[in-house]
Amino acid sequence: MIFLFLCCVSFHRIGKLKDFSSQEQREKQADQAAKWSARSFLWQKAQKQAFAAQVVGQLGVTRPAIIDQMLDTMQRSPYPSVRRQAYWSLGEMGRNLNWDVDAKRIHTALLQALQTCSSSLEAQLIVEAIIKNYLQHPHSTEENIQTLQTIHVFLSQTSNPPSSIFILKEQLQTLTVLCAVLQEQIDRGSDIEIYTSSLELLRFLATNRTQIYQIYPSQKSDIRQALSLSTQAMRASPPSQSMILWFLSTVANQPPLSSLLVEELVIWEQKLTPSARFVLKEALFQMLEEEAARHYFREIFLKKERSFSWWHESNHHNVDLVQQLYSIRVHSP
Amino acid sequence: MFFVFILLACMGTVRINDIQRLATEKDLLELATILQKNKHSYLREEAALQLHHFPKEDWNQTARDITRNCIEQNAERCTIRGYCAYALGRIEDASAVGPIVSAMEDCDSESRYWMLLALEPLAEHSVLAKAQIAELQQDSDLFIRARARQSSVQ
Repeated sequence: MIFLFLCCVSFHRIGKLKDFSSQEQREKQADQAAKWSARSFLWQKAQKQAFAAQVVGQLGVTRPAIIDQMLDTMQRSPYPSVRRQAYWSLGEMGRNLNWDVDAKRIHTALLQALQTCSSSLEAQLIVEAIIKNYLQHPHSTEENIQTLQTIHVFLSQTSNPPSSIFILKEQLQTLTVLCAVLQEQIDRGSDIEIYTSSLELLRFLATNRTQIYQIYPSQKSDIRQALSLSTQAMRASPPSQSMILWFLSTVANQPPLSSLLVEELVIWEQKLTPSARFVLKEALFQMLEEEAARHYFREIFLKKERSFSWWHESNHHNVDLVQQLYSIRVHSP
Repeated sequence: MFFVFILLACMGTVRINDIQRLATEKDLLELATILQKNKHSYLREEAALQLHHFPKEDWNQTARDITRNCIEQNAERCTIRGYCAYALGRIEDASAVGPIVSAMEDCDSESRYWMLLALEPLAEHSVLAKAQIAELQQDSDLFIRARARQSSVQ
């Protein structure tokens, strides 16, 4: 009976683990709490496991065996409350780690958990844990690409992303990383993922439009690649066409960026869906400083569109489109 | 007898449930006493968390003093100090600003985040709170920086 009494684990026994008087005791108690986070209790199993997982995070001991146990709890527990505490605890432990084997294991596991999590609250906690574990260290472009790609896949699957994901994205996004991620999505060929990654790239360009124009002379190839990928994305994913064209009309409507795009956009007209064609015309209309755009409206658009053909046939000897648009007076010869 | 032993050993939820019951019964003073005197930090932590549910009009001076003292104690766990700070921030007790700002120098990022949340409602009453929030926009912790910037915009 006494043996059974001693074997049973109460909330009080779990809670007492938070108090320690030496580092050795702290480590021992963290180890115990980690084991209890996966133990099969007779009563209030989920509550006790969650409480134990919380204790692990608060003690902040980062021994590999404890990390292993918490990863196991996170991946296997059928209880959302326990998983949530495990995410939080892994994030707290991640704060104390260098970017080493253990931190990388936590990061990989959290990225996988993000793909399969069942609620927006879990997603919020996973992203916060990723931020704590990942962002305090510098990373290679490859690591950022891999992380951002997972984020984009997650965003393409959810209509209610957690707010903390925008903090994470902001820290990861550079033109190089965004282009690499979009290229990967184009290679994979999934419409919705191409849409998401295109949107993220174009939003980045739109947000940083002024700086993009300023750095263009020194970053020409990167910016050219970003615009080229946008048009590749249109080819790979017809549902993305209208969105991409709309963004391009606001981001790249001035020289020198418009000169990189305008001729290709004119060629694109025949390949687009009807709704996208309308957006294309609007995009080209924003680029009238480019001769190719003016040529399009004079020679192609006005001749093809019936309502304008009549006007063009009636007036083209007297008034040029540009003159008409900019109210420039015409002197008869 | 055997089953009584098992029951007593395995349940053990009485103490946490007691604290939650005190919150339901609005016994602020008893909670503050647990915060001040209980030797188990997990119970002090639970008591500090339950303080968040009390509106301003329920707080008396004794409870405020005990909670403020909790923030000031370097020996107390930072998590508990953070929860105490949040409790006083919610009721806009401006006398907590100084202790919170001092405590932020000693504590971990997670606790400091709670302290930042405490400072937000106090910024209207205290220049020190406002200044601290402004300074936290450059904090090493990303969550604290983001929240401090958001506070400044609002």
